[in-house]
Amino acid sequence: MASDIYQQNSPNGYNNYSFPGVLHYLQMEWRKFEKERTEWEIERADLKTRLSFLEGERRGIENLKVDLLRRIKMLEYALRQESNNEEEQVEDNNVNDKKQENTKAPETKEDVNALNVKLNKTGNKDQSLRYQLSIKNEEANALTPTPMKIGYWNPSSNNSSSLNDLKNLKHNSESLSGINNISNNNNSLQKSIKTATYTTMNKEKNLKPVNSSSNNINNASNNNNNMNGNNNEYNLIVKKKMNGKRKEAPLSKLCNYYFIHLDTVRSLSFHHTDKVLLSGSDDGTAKLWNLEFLGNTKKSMIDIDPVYTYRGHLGPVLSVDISDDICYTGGFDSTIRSWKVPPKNMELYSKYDSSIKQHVFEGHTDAVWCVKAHPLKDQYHLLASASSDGTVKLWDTESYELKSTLDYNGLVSESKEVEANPTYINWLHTDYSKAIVSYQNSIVKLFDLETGSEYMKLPSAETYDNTPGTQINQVISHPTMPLIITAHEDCFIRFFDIKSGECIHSMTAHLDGVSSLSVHPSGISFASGGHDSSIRIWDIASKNCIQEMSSHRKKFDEGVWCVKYHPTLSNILASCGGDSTSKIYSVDQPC
Amino acid sequence: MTEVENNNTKEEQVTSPSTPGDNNKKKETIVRRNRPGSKSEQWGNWPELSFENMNSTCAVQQYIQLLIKRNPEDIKTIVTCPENQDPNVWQYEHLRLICLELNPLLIMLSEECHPDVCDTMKATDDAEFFCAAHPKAQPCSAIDYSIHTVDGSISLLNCHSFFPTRVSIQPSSLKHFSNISRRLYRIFAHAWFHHREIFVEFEHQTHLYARFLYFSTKAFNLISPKVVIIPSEACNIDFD
Ligand SMILES: [Zn+2]
Ligand SMILES: [Zn+2]
Repeated sequence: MASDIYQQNSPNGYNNYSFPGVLHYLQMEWRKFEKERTEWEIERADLKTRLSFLEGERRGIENLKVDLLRRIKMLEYALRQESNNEEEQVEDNNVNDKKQENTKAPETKEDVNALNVKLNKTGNKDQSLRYQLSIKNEEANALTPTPMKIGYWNPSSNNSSSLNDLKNLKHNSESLSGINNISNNNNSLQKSIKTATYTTMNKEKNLKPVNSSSNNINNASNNNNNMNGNNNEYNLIVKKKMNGKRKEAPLSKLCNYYFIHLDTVRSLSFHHTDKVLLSGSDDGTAKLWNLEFLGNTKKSMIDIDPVYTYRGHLGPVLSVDISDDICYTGGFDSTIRSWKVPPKNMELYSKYDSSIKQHVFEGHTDAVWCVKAHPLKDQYHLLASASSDGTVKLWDTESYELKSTLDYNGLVSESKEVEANPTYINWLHTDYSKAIVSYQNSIVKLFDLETGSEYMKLPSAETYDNTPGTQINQVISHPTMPLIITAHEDCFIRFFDIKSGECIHSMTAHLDGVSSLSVHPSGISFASGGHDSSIRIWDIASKNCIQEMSSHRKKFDEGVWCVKYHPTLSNILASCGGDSTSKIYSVDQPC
Repeated sequence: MTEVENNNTKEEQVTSPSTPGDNNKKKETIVRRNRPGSKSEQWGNWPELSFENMNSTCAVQQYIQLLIKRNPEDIKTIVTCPENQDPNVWQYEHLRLICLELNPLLIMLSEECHPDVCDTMKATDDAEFFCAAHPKAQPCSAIDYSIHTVDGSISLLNCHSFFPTRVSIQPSSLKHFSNISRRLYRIFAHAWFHHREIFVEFEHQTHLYARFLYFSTKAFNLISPKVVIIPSEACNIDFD
């Protein structure tokens, strides 16, 4: 505009400024600036309202944050109260320990406190991060959540129910999956709530093991590490869930069901269809437990007596297996014994029945570390045993005859020098004519049951260093996939594809030797137990740890010795270990 | 984004081989563990750990088992409660181990002590003992009495309401120690008076009766001397 005026005037001459022309120009300029000023002013007002709006929003979210933190504190407090109660009941010993072990106990307390502080910190950090994120989110998406909504989440309205909320969290696993399902929801408020819920869940999980396994804490030196590891793991798990990758995690909860022996419990076996558990212990007995009460009782702690105590082995019972109504036990005394499952209506202290004892399989010359009955009982009627005399023996369960003896190289004709002792036997579930045997030298071999010849040798000794410190403790096969998983004494879990015979994945899975593995009946996850006293549950597809539980205490360096899923009833997991106990974990049972 | 990165580093921390590797280095010194596949002579074959260095909840059990393994005939050392050790926990763990070690005796008795021969639980003919494992005490055959009593004692010692923890004992539960001891004594007595060969063989292998007697009469006053009816010759160890 200005240049137009100038040009209109310019043709007449170089210095040709007329007064009205200048005046007009100035008026035009003034009007222009004035217009711009009002525009700016409007814009400024707009921005001011936007600012105050955002500030209000921020305040609202801050209120929410405070409320949620308060709620977390409350839940934490309630949890701590509850676990303190538990601790008082189960191990109020710490106080007592203090008197005797002046050096250890204070460290223990400090550890717990430090851990709690750490938990609080991570919780807070997590929270604030979340809030920053959610605010950014809103700006980007120009979402306009009204701060009014926050009132709905105000603890003033559901203050009193927060304890119940906690209970619900503990007792109702569905709430968790429900929360999972809204992971795609963009509403930042819900997201925040979810974070809070997860954080509490996170803490719940963290607190539980801390309080329920005081030996972990007592082993003050190794322990810090361990706990930090757990902490990370939990965060990891929670984050993973936040990404919405895992929808149906087979979460297990610790139940207060203990089955107590007098010494280390080394082996467990579930009945194929019934809720019956067999456990074998260093106390020389195998005990049969009836779990029918699972789901039928809401009592949190009941004393459970064994249905039957099998006495016959002199020395520890190292391995147990139930096949239909026959129990097989392998002992330190080189024998394998078979026992009848007593009738269900048998009373607790009834008359001694000598017909319970069925047969003693004799032939091994050293400790029998593993017994396994063939799952196709009618077709194979076969029992396999692995002993530290270096051999695997196959027995006929009907004639009780020894069918064949396999050493490291297959069928034995004459006794030779032993190369490596077998540690565990299993059946290849995708081909029942094969037995899988793991050895002290970290090798896994597959043998053909008919010919007794070596069918396959897995390259599993990657980290073997000529000591039993790197041996394989257990080997399992997937129920449907051609997959073998091995548990190594040097913390590894390895996965092998049977088709190619190659290692497809290798991971350090525990902080100490991995002792046991068990695949969930659904086949989507498996559990592992280790001498770090922890039980971890893994997703088979992603090989990610879904959950960790730490509920056993060590005797010497023996933590968890065995984990077992019930083969047909989903969601019953049992574990046993050095602390003389077996425990049951389950999802859908009231705990 | 920062969060995602955090996530990854955490994952690395958890799964990186360095963590267990370090652990191994620490543990390479001694791992006190009976690994699958190991020979029976390697069982528990590790350097002794001093009681002060046993810091798990199983420490007392570990220590008593260590003392027994070291010398099962050294009854006094095995039974005497160390200084700074809660004597109630000490008794509790001893009773647990006595129940555990009675297992071979029960196995031996079950071969010989048939209900048609020993239809009642007797030591001498003076008294017949009723089995307390049942809701109402009842007469059981000797083998049933022995098995029921050991199972009942184990059940009582593992009962959560009486013994919620292995690291401290409620004063109200202490009375069970003498009940358990009195009943267990009768099993020894029956074996001595009716199955002498089994008793002698078992005692020769384990010295459990000597330990039990010293434990329940000398070290702790759990059974009264009047109840002791087995002659002192049954003890192959002289601890007086
Ligand atoms: Zn008799
Ligand atoms: Zn009875």
